[in-house]
Amino acid sequence: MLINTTWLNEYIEPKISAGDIIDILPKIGLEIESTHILKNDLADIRIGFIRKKNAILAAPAMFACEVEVAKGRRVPIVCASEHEIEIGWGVPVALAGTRLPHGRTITAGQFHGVESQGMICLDGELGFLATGTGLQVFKDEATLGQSLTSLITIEDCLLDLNVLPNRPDCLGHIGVAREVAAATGRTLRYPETKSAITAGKQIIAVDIQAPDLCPRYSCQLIRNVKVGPSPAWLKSRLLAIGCKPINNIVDITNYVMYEWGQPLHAFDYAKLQGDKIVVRRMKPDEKLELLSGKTIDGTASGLVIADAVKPVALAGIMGGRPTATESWSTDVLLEAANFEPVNIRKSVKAIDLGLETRGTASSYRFERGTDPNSILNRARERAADLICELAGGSREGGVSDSYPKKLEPRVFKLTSDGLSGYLGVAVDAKTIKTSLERLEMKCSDDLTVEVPTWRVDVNDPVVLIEDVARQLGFDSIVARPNPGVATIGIRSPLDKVRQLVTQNLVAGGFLESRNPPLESADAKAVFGNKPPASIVRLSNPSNREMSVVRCSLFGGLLRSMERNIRRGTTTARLFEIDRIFWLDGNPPAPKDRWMVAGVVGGMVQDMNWRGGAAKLDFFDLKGVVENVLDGVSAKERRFEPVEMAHFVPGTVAAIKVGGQHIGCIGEFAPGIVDTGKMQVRLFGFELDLQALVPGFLEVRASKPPARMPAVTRDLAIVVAEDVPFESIEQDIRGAAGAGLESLRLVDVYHGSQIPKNHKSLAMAFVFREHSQTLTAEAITAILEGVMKSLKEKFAATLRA
Amino acid sequence: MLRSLGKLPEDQRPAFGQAVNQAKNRVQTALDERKQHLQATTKSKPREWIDVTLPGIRREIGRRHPLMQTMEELKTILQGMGFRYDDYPEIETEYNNFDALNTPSWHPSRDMHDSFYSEQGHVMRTHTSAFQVHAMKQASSPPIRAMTAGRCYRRDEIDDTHFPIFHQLDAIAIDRTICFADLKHTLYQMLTAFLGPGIQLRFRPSYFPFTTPSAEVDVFYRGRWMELLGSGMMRPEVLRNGGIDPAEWRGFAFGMGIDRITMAKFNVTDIRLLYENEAAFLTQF
Repeated sequence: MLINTTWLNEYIEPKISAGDIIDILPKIGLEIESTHILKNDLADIRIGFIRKKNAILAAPAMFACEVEVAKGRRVPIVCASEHEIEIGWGVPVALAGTRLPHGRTITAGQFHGVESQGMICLDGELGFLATGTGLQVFKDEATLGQSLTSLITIEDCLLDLNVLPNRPDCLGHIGVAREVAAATGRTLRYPETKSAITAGKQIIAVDIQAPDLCPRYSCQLIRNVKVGPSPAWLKSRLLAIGCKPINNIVDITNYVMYEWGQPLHAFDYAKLQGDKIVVRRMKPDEKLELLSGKTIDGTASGLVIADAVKPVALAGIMGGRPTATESWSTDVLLEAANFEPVNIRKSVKAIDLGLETRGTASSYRFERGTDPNSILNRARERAADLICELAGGSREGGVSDSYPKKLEPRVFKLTSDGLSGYLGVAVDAKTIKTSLERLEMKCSDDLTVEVPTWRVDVNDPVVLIEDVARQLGFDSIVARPNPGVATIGIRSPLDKVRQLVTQNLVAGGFLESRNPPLESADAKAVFGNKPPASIVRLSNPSNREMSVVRCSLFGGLLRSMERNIRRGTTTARLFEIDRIFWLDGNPPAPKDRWMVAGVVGGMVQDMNWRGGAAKLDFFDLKGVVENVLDGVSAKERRFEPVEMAHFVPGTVAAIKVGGQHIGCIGEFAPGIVDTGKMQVRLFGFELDLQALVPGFLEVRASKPPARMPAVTRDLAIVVAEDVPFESIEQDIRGAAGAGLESLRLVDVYHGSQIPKNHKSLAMAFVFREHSQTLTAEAITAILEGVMKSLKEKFAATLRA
Repeated sequence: MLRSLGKLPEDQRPAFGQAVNQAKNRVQTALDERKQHLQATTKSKPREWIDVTLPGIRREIGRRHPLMQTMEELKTILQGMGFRYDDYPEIETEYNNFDALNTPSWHPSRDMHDSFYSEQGHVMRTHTSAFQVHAMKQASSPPIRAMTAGRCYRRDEIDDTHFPIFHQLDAIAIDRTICFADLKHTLYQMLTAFLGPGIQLRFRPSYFPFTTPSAEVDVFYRGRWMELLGSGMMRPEVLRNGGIDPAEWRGFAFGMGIDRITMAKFNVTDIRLLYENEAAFLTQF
């Protein structure tokens, strides 16, 4: 919401400088989104002299002017006749490309076929309040081309406030002024109301048929108004805060809304049938043309204001076009009402209002909550006064009002100790009382607080504590340690496993990645083994590329790998630890599981001066996985051949730990990512991280290092190609018994020296007994036993 | 040999002792000579020359992602301050993400969160604050200090500074004597540990439906004020939703974005770099 500081100052006594306002607002919770110090922001506005002025036939309300903006430089400017202009006048000109404080940038363009390269600016269009006729006019030719700010003093600042949803009472200048006055110890001064509420006959019968949706409806009939343009001071105020002036009646309702925060509406009384206002739900067969031009029907059964016959306004949101105040209207019915916020909000969401924005300035305030009591009354009377004053009307009869259930102010009890304890700073009762009274709360000496009903946010005493704290200033609450009970900072077992696995992979050369969990719905791109029905899909994705929640980490890693390869990275090792998601149960509920996955491609090591480089393959990655599993003490692990989509057949292994399937490893099918000309073989693994937690938590007993000497023997055997090493190793361990401490495969050979379809496996055996030294004879006997077994089971032979 | 001295007749003892000592000294001298000789020969080994300026043979090591470095560092700091770490759901119920945090469905502050929903009506958590009620219910009773960190989602259009997925860290502390001054203290401690001594913080009153008073905290970092986190005293409604009696216990809560401070710390100007995982980028951290 835009605030003009000069306007704001009208309600504050003594006045406060714009600089101080800018300084104080953030400190009391009114965040300034953007600050426009006009004397700086208007530097590009220069005085141009009107040299020619021609009527535009197609647009009687516009003139084609030629304006001299600098000595000898004339530009064409089309000017709307918001204000009279004459040849020879010097006026503020914004040339095309200039940005006005509201954010509007002037562009060159054609109006009704006439070229325009700038704009003649009214005071309000420049953001400041009119002091005279609303247009700065200079007769002295010496001012040609001079900056406006060098000729007149502009103290106004425009502030775009981000009024947070809890404080609708600050959606008007007076609400903001109240906060500023309170925080700076100044007096809040309401605008003078010339008349007390008129007593008199209620001419209009108000019938609220939905009191839960409309707690109060009041209206005042004003007769014999003369509808016309508003005076310069009023126009400039609306223009300054970005609201377009329409006519004096509409402008007054808008002005009072921006002053008090209470939306108002004015009907052309002549268009209303029967002296009756009914607040009710719209009927399905009814239609209502709104001010926006959009015609709504009753299917959404929105709350409407109706006369005796038909709906005339969408309650609290927008008036109807047929009953709007027009230039020929003479009698107006001024409405000041209160509507239930949730219903307004729902209606704005449900009904297409034909606007570019969501809702209106009116609905924005009603959906946050307005005051049905004093502010409603004051706003209505203020607007009625102004209508009488500026449009020459007079009230007829008294206020017609229906307010079936008066909203009573809330009362809370505070204590000095309670408040001091909550904030952690000593605040005495007197300070509390003064702080709250400055916000127009009634506060007794024993701190019983009656809260004005415009403060819709105060539903608990803690809000009053906050009010006091805001006035003290958060800076005055000094940080101090808590004297309470110590608690234990501990990480979840999963977090510990995550850290260990991360350290392990980082040490192994892997770069940690973060990929978006939202992925394409394209079936080709979906990894993981979840059935399509169990994939979590977004009901409101921003785009198809980010519309399903991933059920495997591979997709993101592969896309990152693709990006790396395309940008010329020849070797990359990427990993990610994160959750995967799927649906399970009836009704389907989201489940998640923490996974770790890695994708590699390229070389084992960069080429260096001591040697060449080998290409990464399955076994490099398998070694990484084995290290990861070792790092978290995963026991009984196995790699079993398996077939999986997206992988080269025959290169994939399921990873099992303790018999449980926890992941996979393999080589991705060529073309899984589009790497252009670069062909890089890609390998990947994915493991269920959570499955590793129980094993990690088991207490592991250590053994002292063996003291007996070890004996090493080498053995090379020849077996058929398709005998898995795992079977051979198991057999050897079985045959060798406990004396075999370790078995290491040191060479795998295929070639001319051995029969076709066979391989030679060279292994290093380490034997050790813990109680005695093994004799050479004993070891030879063991190895003979091993060979015998291998021969029987796998037809293995010793390699000569 | 000297131990057998006692078995000899007394008159023979001096001579025997002397002889033994002489023998011992001769052996020692011989040993020392040999040792010296050996050391001398070693020293005289011909001089070698290696080019110590040749590049070392390096094995590639990986890096942690900058976002995760930030997160890990903050977790470690808070762990040291007594906060326990756990993970909580990322696909949440509307209740935990909003309602339990005093943000019912009609509340205008829901406009501040443009959320993603699953087809089943679950919400992709819009903030890690969704953990608060889980954490309170999980703990047996106060005092509680708990934290979590992770991904959050909002329907932002992607540009230099916005991405629909981002990271947050959230913490709560509940005890009988928790107060706003503690909150300030905790944040000063945490951020001093994270950003270094002498930091300047600015506490601005703000609004979150689940805290009152609420404060936005800005830090003066690298020559400018930057919004860092949201914080406040937990609302009584929220404590009640977590099964904790607000008449007896009070709490504070804060939530901090990880992406922005990481970008500021490492001078990253485009948030998309954090999610593209280019080796040339990641190897710098």
